[in-house]
Amino acid sequence: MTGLSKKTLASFNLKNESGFLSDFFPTVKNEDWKYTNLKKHIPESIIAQPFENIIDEALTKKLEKKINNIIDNKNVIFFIDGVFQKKYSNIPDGVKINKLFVEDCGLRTIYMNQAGVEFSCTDEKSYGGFLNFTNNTKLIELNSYLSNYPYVIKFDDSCVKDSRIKVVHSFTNKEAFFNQNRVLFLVEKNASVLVHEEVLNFGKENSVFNMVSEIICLENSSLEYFSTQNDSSKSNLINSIFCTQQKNSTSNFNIFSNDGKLIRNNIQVDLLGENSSSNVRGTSLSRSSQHLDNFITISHMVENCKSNQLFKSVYDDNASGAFCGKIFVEKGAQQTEAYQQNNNLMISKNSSVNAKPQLEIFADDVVCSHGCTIGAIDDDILFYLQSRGIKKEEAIKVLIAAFLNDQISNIRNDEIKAEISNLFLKNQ
Amino acid sequence: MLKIKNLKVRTEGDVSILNGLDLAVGPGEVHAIMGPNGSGKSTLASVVAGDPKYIITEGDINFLNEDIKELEPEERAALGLFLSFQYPIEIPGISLNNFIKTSLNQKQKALGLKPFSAKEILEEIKKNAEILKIDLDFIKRFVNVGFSGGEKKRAEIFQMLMLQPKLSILDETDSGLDIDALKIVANGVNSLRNNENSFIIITHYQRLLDYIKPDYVHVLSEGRIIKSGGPEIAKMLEENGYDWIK
Repeated sequence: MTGLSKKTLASFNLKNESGFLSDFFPTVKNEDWKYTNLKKHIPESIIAQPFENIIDEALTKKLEKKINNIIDNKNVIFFIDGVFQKKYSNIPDGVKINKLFVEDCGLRTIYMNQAGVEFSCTDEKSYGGFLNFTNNTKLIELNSYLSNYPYVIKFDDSCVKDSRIKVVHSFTNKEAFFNQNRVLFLVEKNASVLVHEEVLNFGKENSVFNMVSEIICLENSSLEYFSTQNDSSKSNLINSIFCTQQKNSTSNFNIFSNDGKLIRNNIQVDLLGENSSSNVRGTSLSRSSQHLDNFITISHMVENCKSNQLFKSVYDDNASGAFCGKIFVEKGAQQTEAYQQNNNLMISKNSSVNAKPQLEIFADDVVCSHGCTIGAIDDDILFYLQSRGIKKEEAIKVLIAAFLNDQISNIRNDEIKAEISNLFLKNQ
Repeated sequence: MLKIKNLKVRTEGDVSILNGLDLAVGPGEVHAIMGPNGSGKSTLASVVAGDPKYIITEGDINFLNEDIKELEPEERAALGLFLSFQYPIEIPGISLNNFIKTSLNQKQKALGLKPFSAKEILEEIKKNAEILKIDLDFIKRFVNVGFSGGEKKRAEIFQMLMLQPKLSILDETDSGLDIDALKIVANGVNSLRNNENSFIIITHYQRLLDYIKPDYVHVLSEGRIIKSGGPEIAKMLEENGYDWIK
């Protein structure tokens, strides 16, 4: 794959004779993609996004009203087709954003090292990469080939804790594009930040969004991260988050998936510093023939770290899904505490889910657990609700709300809690 | 109010439970149904409330001059039917408070009435909590989750008072209650009692009937009512057991 540079690539699609794009597609033979057949979901005619750093002014003008309706212009970092839009953004204190020039550096899968040092062409050694980052790389490589210049967003300790910073990635596909997006988040020492990422599609349906986020949490930092996946435009979202954490850092990932033809979340957290902890929560509601795949790995590389995975999914109609969650405990990572729970509620007979909880433990003084349930709504419970005058359809909604309750009621930020409740509980 | 004629019911597993049962409950009447274990008391309660687990093979159930056999449980509830469950169901994730609000407003909707305001509901909640000596914090807890046996039954009667049904069926509401709780629950039932509201009380013990005086007592055996009469029957049963009838 060397020899290719961004400049030589033009637009191409899956049917392209060179087979270039399909080379990057993991198949179901790859264990990590066993339950999600990308080729089934992504149309052959998909066009890989050509590189443009110039945004069509006429188009943004047209979108302006829509954008203004969506953003309240309060702590927003706004992108259109991977390009930062100063005009629509309002960057709060403590946040810096800059472009990373990687044009002539060849292919890199990861652009920032564990210490938060950006990759630079002149100093190759600064590139560190992720310790366990061995699988799942093909789509990341594709992202590196095709994305615009990645942006680095830095948060320092003057950020206001618990105040939301929205990061909106909007796209304007004129055709069904295979979009790439790359952002690097650096949570600096002692910083405490709440980031809420969202993808908005203003363009054609059937597009693919191949989103890659690298997140570095330095010492004593704290990250509260939300992602709302609510694209009703029949698009496909592949969302990869790679996070490394240093000493005494905390991360909380909250992924809410409510709409989207295909959603694949790859979340990998490496706990590299002692006393660091991570909570990864996923909440989803899949309907019609939507497919949702949560692929999570948390690696405990050193002693005294904690992690928790809690994934709750509801499947209705012909929806399908998968949960693959792994806890990895490195040799010597004693006093690890790691938990994993996955609960699936199947509303219809035609919905299905595959769950694969995994523990890989190479230390002997640890507390780890995993649990998984897959079940339907109990007829006796349904009768109980109906006997109280609650219509069957409404009773099912009540029971879905009850099932997801803890995921939503645990959101500390009231604004986000209200939005998520509205999304999950009112618009069913 | 309720007229059951020649009701025959079997389970999905083809076990017949009710074998031609007749019962008529008029407005304002309290009927007690007693009978040995397995005689079909709970099945009768569930079938009237519309539990789809049971299959009606013959007979009629009329409620307020309407054939309710084909109606969904929620439609029966909207007409004014209420079942206090023998084993109330636990629903983690929804508070009793929200559950009652949803029930009330679903019922209003079914009747084509406008929903109650939060204030109206709160006032009713306070009034009924007072009657049943329920702490308001209790209502914030998830429905029946971690409730003691007595709390579950009290929560059932609380829902009954909130929904103001015309016919309430109490399926062994007294089992698992201590004397004090029994009095409180009976007090709740009596507060709903008037010339129009009727009750069917399923019980094994005379004790409850000391507090809720029935107009009629029926004895159910092998899916049929084999004896009907006044409150004296309950006393005879307490003293002599079911052999006395056979």
